Amino acid sequence: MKLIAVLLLTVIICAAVKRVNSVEGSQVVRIEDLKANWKAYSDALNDDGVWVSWNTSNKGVPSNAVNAGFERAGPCFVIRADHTTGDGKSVGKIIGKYFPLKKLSYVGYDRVQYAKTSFEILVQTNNVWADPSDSRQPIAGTDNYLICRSMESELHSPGRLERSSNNCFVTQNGKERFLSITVVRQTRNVSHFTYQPDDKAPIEGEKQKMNMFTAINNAMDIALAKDESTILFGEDVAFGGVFRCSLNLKNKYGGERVFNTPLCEQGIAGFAIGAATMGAKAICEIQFADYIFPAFDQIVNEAAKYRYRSGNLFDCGSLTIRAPCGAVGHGALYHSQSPEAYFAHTPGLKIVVPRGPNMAKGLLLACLNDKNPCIVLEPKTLYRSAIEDVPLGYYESTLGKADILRVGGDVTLIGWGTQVHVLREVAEYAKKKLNVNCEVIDLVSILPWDVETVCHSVKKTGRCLIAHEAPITNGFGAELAATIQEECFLHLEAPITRVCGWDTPFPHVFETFYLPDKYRCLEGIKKLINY
Amino acid sequence: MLSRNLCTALRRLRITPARFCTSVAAPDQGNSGCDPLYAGIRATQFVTKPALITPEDYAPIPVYRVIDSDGNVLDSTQEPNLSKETLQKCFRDMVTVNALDKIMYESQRQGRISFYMTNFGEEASHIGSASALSSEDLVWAQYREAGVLLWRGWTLSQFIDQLYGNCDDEGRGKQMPCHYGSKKLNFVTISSTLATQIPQAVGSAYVLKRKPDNDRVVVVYFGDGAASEGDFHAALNFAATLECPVIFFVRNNGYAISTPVREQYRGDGIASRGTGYGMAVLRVDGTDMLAVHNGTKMAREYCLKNNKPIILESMQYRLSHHSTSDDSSAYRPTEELEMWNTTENPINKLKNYMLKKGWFNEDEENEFIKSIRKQIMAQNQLSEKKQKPDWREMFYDVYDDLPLNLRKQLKEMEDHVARHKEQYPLKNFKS
Ligand SMILES: Cc1ncc(C[n+]2csc(CCOP(=O)(O)OP(=O)(O)O)c2C)c(N)n1
Ligand SMILES: [Mg+2]
Repeated sequence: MKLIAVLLLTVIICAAVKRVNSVEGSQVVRIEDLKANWKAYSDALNDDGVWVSWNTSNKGVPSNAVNAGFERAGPCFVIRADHTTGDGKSVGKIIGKYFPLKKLSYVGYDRVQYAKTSFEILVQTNNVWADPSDSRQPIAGTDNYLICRSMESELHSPGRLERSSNNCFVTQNGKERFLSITVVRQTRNVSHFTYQPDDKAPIEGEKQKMNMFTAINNAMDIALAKDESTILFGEDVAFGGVFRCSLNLKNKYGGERVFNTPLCEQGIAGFAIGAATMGAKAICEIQFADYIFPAFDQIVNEAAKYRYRSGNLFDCGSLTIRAPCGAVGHGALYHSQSPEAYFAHTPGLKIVVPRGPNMAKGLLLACLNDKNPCIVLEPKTLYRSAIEDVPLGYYESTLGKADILRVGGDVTLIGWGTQVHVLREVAEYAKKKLNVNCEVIDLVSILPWDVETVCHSVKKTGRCLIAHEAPITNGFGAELAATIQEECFLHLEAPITRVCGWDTPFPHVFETFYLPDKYRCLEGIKKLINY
Repeated sequence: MLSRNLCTALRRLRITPARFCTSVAAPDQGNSGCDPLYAGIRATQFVTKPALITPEDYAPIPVYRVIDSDGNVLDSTQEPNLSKETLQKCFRDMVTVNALDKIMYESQRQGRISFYMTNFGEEASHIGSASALSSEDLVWAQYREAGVLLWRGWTLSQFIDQLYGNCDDEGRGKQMPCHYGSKKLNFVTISSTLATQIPQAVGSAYVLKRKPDNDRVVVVYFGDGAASEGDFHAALNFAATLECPVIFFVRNNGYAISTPVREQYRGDGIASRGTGYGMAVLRVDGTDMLAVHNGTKMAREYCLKNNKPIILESMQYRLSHHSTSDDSSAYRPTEELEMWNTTENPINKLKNYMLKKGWFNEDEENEFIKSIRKQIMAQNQLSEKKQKPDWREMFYDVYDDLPLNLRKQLKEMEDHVARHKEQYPLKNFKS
């Protein structure tokens, strides 16, 4: 499955770029081409990495080239190059290193170090180095070798790890050395969930593979094209936004419609409310949901109450606020929060959280068309890692409606955003390990929420587990649990269980222990079953 | 008659009539020395024709410099009286921040630490200001002020342990890299949320002011972007009305991530806002260590003597990418960096000055850089190998003690981890 996705992606990237070099049957993509075609470029920057042809006369390295070490010659980057032995025998591609400051690149073979002038350099957004015993999938490499790194001194060097023997070789001082000491191997970035695309597209028609930020970009593109009054703004939005969601839109629609604001969240929200009051469709971006609080007054006291307090003389219904939320692996206190519950306490707002590209596009378009102020909380960890076939046309995903993603009769699992993917995986586990059939519901819409779908499911299963990243106390799970017990009391076989973030700020190095991960959720299911 | 009564009343409220602002175009007629008729304005001057006052009517705020880019002193009365040893420490601290930045930036690129922010091009503003403060002065920083902490004596191991969030990180692994803090060195722990520290700094200055024989000021650092937040306005207005000895140190470096200052504000820098709040201001060349030093010294004396705040605007350029999450080539041409990397580079400028004085030994300094790089790399290796704090640390310091709900949650997680040892990276954490 994963392999197919990778292959598909490779095909797409290759098809999308203008100039494609062919080296020994494998396709090589030039970074200039990728940059010209920003979509392919951003697609390429997913966790699997791409190899980009490069040579020592090029300036520097492509952005996001994988840096593996630091030696006396400066930082060194992971490359691979074709190698032919002295007697003319091709040995295929060998992994090596490049020092852009000195314009030197080397691969090692059979205990000798060879200089290269043209090669391929690895470009990737996230790379993690792990112990060779680590069970995670390694990424990029060649047929025979994986990328590894020596850890023997303060100087780290990239090298090749022979797939067959697990031996690591690095080059130094003209020689290639075999290392028996600590090596680490490059792997896929660790995350606490495995993303699962939807089985079914929301509408028929032409589709394109998109990750979540591309789908959001596509939705905003459609919105800007459809209605001339649409404006899009926020901190750093003009150059594409720190998560690249507004990429190219300023070029396409002009700086009057897509623009940077001064750095002030209360200003952004207030300005957006005013614009919406004048009938414009206002899409504003708060750079991180963690920084939405300076705008709390504008959103809670103003946007939410506009219609009510004016006897419907005025409203700011054409306002949509987007904000990246949720855990991302290393965001700590202020780049990880999920503030949905704060806003769910506010009548007059609508709040949604997409689980992937299709949803992100449909929900955003629905919010823009809705006659009430809406907040879209976008799980930032999905921006790049979530990829789906997204219809190119206009469509809306219904606000206020939950999705049943897996049908089951024993336990109802409810989540939203990234947590949905954790729950989907847990459901499969529960089936395999405990023979328990879980029904997985993506709540999608926090306010208003789909009481009917949820309670219908819980009446059927009699057991319910709610999981969210935000702290458990007064998280939105509390609201669900209260309503469910009221509506389904006589059907419940066990108390409703919540598996959530702990009642602490979101910590940096302890994130793995903080999140409601699959192991904690599975324990929750066991508890429900054995009650 | 009425107006005289009002003037007397106002005088009783200790609002004194003052000179009319000279930098504003003079009005066509009127009695410029009169007592104010209205509360809250400086002087009442009636005119019979309306005249707009536009931004151009105000004289631009000058930039104070001590040396030119070749290190020549521009006005000999301005050369600070710094000993050879002090100047050498200034230079070496600037070089050390630079070396730390280069190595830790690369370490992030290698996936060893999760995030980093460099200080390239802004070193003089850190060292110039820190060297003019008393170590008792309280510092509130934004995040790009590593030099201030280094000057005060934070060690390489303290920096790098924080970056790894390991068991020797005083912040106990809770925050992202670069969120430093030191109680001992009077440096309040950094928070990611921009500008929140600015009004907080004012509150702490108020408390200092109330102490008998106070000889401390508060210094709060922030960027040109952060100055757009509401908290900035609140802070200035509070500091002015409550008369707090606080230096608002603005690092105006041209950008807030991708947003150039042209899209951030339209006034004359940030300093021009001070006037509106009734506050003194001073603008210095932030790449000239000596100018920042003198400016900070003057600002500090002004604050202490008058119990009043001041804006000190340091003009510089962010040579760094915003952070390791940013690639600035997406929004600024690399040619723009040229001048700041060379003639206007703070380290080069200080070096030129020291060379001219005959206080710079090239070989010794090269040796120093080499050895400091070695130390940083060795420390990097050490800090990386240290375990993270006990994972239970996660539950502590939410409150002063562990309330019942957290005790229960801690126990629940302990039981869970005990049952699923193999699923958690326990060997990386102390127990
Ligand atoms: C309240 C808040 N909003 C947004 C951000 C995201 N952010 C972090 S740094 C930054 C730019 C700050 O620029 P500036 O104040 O000029 O400091 P510089 O980075 O130039 O040193 C932004 C927008 C934040 N940390 N906090
Ligand atoms: Mg700035």
